Amino acid sequence: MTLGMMRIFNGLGSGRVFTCLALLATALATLTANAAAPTPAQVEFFEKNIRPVLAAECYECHTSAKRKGSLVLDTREGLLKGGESGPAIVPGQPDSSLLLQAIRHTHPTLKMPKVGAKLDARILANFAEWIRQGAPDPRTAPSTANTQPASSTWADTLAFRRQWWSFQPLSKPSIPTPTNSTWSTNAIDRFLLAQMESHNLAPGPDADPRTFIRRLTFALTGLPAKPEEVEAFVRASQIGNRQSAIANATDSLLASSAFAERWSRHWLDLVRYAETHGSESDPEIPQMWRYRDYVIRAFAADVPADQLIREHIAGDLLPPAQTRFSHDALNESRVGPAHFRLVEHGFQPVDTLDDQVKAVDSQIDVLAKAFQGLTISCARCHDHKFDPISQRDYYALYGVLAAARPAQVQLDSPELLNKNRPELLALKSQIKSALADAWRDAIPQLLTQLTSGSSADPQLATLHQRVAEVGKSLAALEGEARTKALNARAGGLQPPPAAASTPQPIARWSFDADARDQLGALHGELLGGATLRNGRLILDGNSAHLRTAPLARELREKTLEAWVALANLDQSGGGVLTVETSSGSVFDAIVFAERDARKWVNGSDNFRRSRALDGVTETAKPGELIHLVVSYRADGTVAFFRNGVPYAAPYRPDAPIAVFPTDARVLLGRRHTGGGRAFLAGEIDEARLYDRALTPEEIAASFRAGPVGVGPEEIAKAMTPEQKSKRAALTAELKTARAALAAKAPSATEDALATALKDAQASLANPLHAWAKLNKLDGPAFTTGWADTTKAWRDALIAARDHNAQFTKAWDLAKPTDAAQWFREGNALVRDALPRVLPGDFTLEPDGDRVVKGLLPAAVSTHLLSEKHGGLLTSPRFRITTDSISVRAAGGKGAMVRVIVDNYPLGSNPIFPKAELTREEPGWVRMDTAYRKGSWAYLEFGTADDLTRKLGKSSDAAGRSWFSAERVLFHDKDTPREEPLAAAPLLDAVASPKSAAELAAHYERTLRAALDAWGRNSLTAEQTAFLDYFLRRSLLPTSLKSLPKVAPLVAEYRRLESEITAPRRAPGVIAGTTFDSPLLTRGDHTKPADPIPRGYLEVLHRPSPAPQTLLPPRLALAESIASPQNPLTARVMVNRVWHHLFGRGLVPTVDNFGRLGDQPTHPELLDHLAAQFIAEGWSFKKLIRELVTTRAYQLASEPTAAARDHDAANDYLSHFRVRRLEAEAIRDTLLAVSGRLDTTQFGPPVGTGDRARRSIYMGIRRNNLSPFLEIFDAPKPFTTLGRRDATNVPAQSLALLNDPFVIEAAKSWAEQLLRQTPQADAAARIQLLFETAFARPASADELAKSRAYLTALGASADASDPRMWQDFIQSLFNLKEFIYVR
Amino acid sequence: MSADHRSFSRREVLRRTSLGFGSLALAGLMHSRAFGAGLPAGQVHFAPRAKRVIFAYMSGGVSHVDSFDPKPALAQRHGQPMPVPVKPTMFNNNGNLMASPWEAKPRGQSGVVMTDLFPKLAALADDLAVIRSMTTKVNEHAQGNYAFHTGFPFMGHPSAGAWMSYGLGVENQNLPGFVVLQSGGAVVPHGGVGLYSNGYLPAQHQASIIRVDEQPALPNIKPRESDALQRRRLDFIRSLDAPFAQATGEAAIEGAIRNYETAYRMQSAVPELCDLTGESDATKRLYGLDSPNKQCAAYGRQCLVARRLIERGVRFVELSCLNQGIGAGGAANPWDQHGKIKEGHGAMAAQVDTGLAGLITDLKARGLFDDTLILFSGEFGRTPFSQGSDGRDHNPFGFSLWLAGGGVRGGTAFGATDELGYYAVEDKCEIYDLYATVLHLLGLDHEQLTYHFGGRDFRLTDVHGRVLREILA
Repeated sequence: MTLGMMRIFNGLGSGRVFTCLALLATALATLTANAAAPTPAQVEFFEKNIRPVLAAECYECHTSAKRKGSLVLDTREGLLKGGESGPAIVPGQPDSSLLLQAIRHTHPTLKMPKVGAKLDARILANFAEWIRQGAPDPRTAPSTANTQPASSTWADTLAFRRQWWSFQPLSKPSIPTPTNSTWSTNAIDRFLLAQMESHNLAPGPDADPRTFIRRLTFALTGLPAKPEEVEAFVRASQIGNRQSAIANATDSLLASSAFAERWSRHWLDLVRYAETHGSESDPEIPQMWRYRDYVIRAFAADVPADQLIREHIAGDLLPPAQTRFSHDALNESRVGPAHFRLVEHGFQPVDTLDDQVKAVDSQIDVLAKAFQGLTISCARCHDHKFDPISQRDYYALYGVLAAARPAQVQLDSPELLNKNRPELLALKSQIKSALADAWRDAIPQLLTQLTSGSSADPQLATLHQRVAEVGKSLAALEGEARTKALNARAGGLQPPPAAASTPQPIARWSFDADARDQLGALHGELLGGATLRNGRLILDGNSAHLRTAPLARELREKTLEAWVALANLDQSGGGVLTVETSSGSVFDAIVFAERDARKWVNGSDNFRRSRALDGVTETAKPGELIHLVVSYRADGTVAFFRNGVPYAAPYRPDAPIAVFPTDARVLLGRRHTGGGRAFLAGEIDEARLYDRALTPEEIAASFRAGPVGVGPEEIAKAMTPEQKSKRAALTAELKTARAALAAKAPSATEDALATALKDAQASLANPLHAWAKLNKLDGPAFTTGWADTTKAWRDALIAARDHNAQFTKAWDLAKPTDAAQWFREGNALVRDALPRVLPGDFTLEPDGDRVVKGLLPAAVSTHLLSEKHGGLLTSPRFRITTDSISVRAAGGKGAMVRVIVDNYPLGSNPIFPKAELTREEPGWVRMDTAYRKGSWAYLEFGTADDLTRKLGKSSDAAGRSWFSAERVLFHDKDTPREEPLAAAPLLDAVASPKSAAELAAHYERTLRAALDAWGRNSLTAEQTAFLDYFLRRSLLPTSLKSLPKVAPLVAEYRRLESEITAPRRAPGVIAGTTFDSPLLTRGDHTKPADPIPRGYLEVLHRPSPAPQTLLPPRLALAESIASPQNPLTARVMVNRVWHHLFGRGLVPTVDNFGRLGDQPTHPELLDHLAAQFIAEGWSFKKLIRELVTTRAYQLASEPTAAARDHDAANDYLSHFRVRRLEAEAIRDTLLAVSGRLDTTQFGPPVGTGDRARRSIYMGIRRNNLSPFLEIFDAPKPFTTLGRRDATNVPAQSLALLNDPFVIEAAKSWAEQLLRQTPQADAAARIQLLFETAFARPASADELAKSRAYLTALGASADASDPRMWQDFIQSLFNLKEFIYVR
Repeated sequence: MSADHRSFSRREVLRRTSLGFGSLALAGLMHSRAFGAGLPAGQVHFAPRAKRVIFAYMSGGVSHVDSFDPKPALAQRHGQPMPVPVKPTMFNNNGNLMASPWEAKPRGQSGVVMTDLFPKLAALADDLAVIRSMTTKVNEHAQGNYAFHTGFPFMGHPSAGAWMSYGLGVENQNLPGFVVLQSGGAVVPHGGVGLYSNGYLPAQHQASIIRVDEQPALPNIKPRESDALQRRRLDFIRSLDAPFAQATGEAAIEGAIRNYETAYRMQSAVPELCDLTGESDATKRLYGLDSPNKQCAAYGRQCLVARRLIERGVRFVELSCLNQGIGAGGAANPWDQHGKIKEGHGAMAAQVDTGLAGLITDLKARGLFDDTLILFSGEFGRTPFSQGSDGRDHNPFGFSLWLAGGGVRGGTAFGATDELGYYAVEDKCEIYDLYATVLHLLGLDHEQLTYHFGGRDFRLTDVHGRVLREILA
């Protein structure tokens, strides 16, 4: 039985060990300090070999100053006198010296130094030699603080500790020549045999071939050898040469996919592989399984260990020549760093720095244990107690790893990621020229329309008038019907009140034709699949909702009103009508069933202004409209009404009424942004927002009046036949008039122009504002008007610029120098090139009639070639010093901007600032950072699938998502404003227009200048906005139909774009700002001390520090570890392989090569293997082949008599070690023997229930580990575990006796057995079962017992009763031989 | 002293294991470490005051200012803003000072002030040692749960129950040494079953979760065949295992063979444990099993089974609260009233008060109270100011817990928070101090109960911990 690393206590308890040396009895008190003076050679020996050890190991407790246990070791006198109990040494008699006994750990109770730390064998030899010589000690002077170090400096300590065996360069031991010259098959055997012989041991007999092939097959594949494989091997080793049979079997096993699955699981143990982050909610690490598959492929392909390690540490930074690709063009190297993401993360931590310190500590812990066999993590709080690792070393390494930012990274090869890129770029350039030409050509037409449409053509005016009049009549007719329809809704009881008596909302959405606000500018955008039907907003309860433009005014006192029909009454948490701040963190809303089932509630952020309302339980049928109102009065009172009557008594919450800032907005169908279960399933007929609290009377009246919006069906229903026919006539007339109008104005821009001019009349920011105001003027009136307009334009621009100037400009991504400081990932933001930040760049619509929407301002954009390109754009590291961060950006389809604080990648609640990007045109997005002030952070812009963590919605089905990032401001209260740039180019005119005609010419000149500049890529921001205005409104042609010359180019572009595929992604890290981490005093993250230069362990930089300072720090770290010069890496790796094959490492503590670890049983062999491993190209397969073809690997497991007596622990490997199968192998074997094993490879993790896949493909959720595997010691994923426990607990017996999985396996095997052997007798079946389960036939005795057992089971039953065989098979599963390997 | 304790345990083991089970030699059983003998003989470091622990874990965080650390200032200043800066909270939705809905008064002879949130426990105030100056370093549930269970705020370390099983060894070979009870659909707190893990200690020290009101109470405990059939199977297995064990000479294989005998006996020991037919009606009433409040009855069942477990030699029993679903409290954190603290805490207290008071009363009547330690705590306290209008956020800076039973000085209130109950200000305690004290009461020196793993010796108390002698009898 193995009990893991249990350290057996002695009866004294560990505390006493500290003082042990002092307890020695005085026996040789007469031995004095007046020994002969040491010779120079002896002095040198002492100074070189003894004093440093005493200083480093003993002085901490035993000095003249400290005198623990009265023992003083810093003077010769003290050493000889000893402690309370007497002298520590007997000069000349090493073996009798208690000091040596203690440091050799041969004394029954005394083990020095400190708890369990060991001294190197060479040091022990030095001490023995020194004592043998009489312990010559030059330290004659009485000790004073000056003459001897009370506690040594780190340099002294390092100088001493670096002498530990594992830090020495690999030696080149000569291969021994043992006496027995026939036994060995290779050099390894000779090393082992020589050791055996020197300990008077001889190797035992070889294992029989069946035992051997079972052992080999399990070791290499984790699966049992099939009976036919066993027989083939037995034959081959009998007929031919046993050695060549072994070699052949080994080769075929190494080539199997099962080998890679088995050995990659060993590797996963090193990196604490899991697929979730643990903690509350146990969030998934998206697509972590790609790392598992990467490891499997690496073992299958025998990727050299140094390459694998290099990839793990810096696979994302490797130069192209060192980067590996899989056969399907996947960048393998990029997957390696995924192990850095296998950390646990706290759930929404208040203290993110604390979380980061823990996460990086876990990364260091695993990196150091897995690849170096060191416990560097111990040095977080203080210098390592035993190993040559200082606290400075720890923080040097911390700085390297903390700079790596968590991310999802794209894995495809550059060829795939850049598919069709040059072609698309070239085409886009052609399209641009063609567009410029087409737009230039279209300018005269635009001007004609401008001048004609606005002034002369009387016919046109008549037509416009007629359209307006007929439209009005139609509206009146329908209005009457609507009133009637509403009356009908209210049951006809109440006449609708006069329009004047109903209060006036500030916004109203009726959905008769669109999602626009019919009263103001709070136009809605349909999101998440929301649609309109029959005058209603249709909400699916999953993601559909509507969001409006910002309020553009503050809102305090208010009333929310809506008519809604619920799709069902069992939903909960969906919002009907919400006002929320831009981040969604503060909101008031009408919400269904969030607190209590089927009850309405006025939702608010964390229920601050909410109360569980004592209203009726909702019973409305699907489709039945309910009228809901909640009013918020200035005095803080909240009142909720349903169908015109109070739903609960008005009340005053503790929290004051919320004030919604100008960038707040309205949501319909969603409780608030960021909330879980937030979507409503149902239909909203109408919603209104008021800027005051309605009175109960008003609310009742409004209920009676009903919604204004009535769907066409309802209207039709309310009409008399006469009205219907009149309506038909009007509709027809309208159609005719419109057609005539269209014929008169053949351009598609006609309507667009009319709309634009209408808007322009009211909007100063609009470039056509001047035209709309001035085109009918003349002479002085025009001149004055122009002067007024341009002054207003100027003033507005200056005011906005002045306002924005107050903010700290963090980054202007329009400037290539600023943009170049940011970190770019993904095929949308190619890393190697400078970001493209041309003003006036554009994107081509992937489908539809429209070619282009508009021009982009100078910004870093992901979608310049395709929205299928994705990427992550992260800022330099900065400290948050303001209450807010605003970014000017656009984006859509799941793109987000987030403030990542202390690299914490999760975080969805409001204390983690973030915003979904949903603006088609760029605008300011504010994030509240007040909570995080003082923290280090970076900004992350990401397309949906590239975000480190998706929080918003996903990309669309084609994987499209995009953002365009322009500027970042740090600020407190006030928010930045939009600068009205679009009209600015008109201000540049040298000569002022004097008339409408001159103004038209001015527009033409300005347009031409802008188009020329566009062609030269030298647009100003103002020109970009100006031109964009004309394009967005299609005042210049933007449709395929209107661009005949561009159309074929666009078709070809779209064809090429459609060939782009969505990249494959995996968790990874990306480079961020490099920085030197402060040393954290006692590991406390609230106590930063001085920064420590980035680097690696000082002890490994001999003689000079890091030679690779020009490399990025993480790449330099990778090179330092994956180096043949690193004394630990190759030793640690070969020792791990040895451990898995022989059951115990040459260094038994496989994860610890430091002082608290064990020392190698065969140091020369270890170095021989390590050197050979390096020389053979770090090949695991070659190493394994070498090891399993040794004679030692063939030994039988029965100990020889000599071994039983002298080597009970089997240190010298004179026989083979019996081992229990690992958890995964037990499960896989149960599946394999019962014929159920599904050998499908790779892919997302599977559950336990669905398919009988190998255990390595089962999902590993930290908070929900597989109980079956855990019982058999599958590791808990929290640190490196190179050596698993093999515990022995009754739960294992219970599992094999009663677990349904085991019983199912027995049943399945029984059925298979009977299928395969329909005619066989019981004996033959028993033999087949034994051969399958144990790779051997049953003995005569076993056969007899088995038959007797079967007879007892089913005495009278027929021999083909599957239940009987199932029972028998289940017993076989419970035989120890089933799960133990000899 | 320790030797006496040890030999008693051995006799106990012999007595219990010789009751008609199995056919294998007991001697082998006795010497096998497979059965949870954590430390070698003579491990108890000094005279124990208690032999076992019952841990009533209040997952989600009990409001100390509403229970064991009442603050008159909150009533006086209800609705006023916090007079001191508020540290970052989980939801950043901090309101004003909020009075407790429960009345406070001195209790018992000791006069310790408690509210009437837990009326029956308050009546036993003279048996409780309240620590009012508890602190923890973490502010979220999963990390808080890990810190309270293992001393470290993340997974991987052994749970306190595992340490105690390891330190004290197992008295009853047929039951695990560390048991977590659940009933009424109670679930594992946030953080998952890792909270009950053996960590790097040998696997026999991990908790077994027993569902006291379900069948089967423990996974795989229910045989899928008749006893005779299974007995025959075990005999057959043993007859075929013997030559294999002999050929290999492996102790581990012998251990595995013996485990089958233990497993066989556990199959009847566990169901017997949860079968309450032998308990009197008076006892059942005492624990609230007859309560019309279903949650109260279900929690009371856990309390009663806990008593039966410790009677059978189990070292560490943890009780699990049931979800009431009020004010953000969920199945994994039922005490977490970010809103509706009055309703939520009221319902939660009604759930546990009867069972726990009944447990104390019953243990006293049976003479078990003096060597059983009861520990009552959540992962943190709650803020003296409101969250929203009627909830309280997490407060890790100062909160209360209590101990009762073996070696504890009842009627004590130790340590203090400030006048608002926000920060611990007097005799500030950490979780390490709590466990140093618990281990001390069990006769174990918290600095000596170590386990070597991954290059260092680990302790339940890490590198901290002070025995709180002030609360010891």
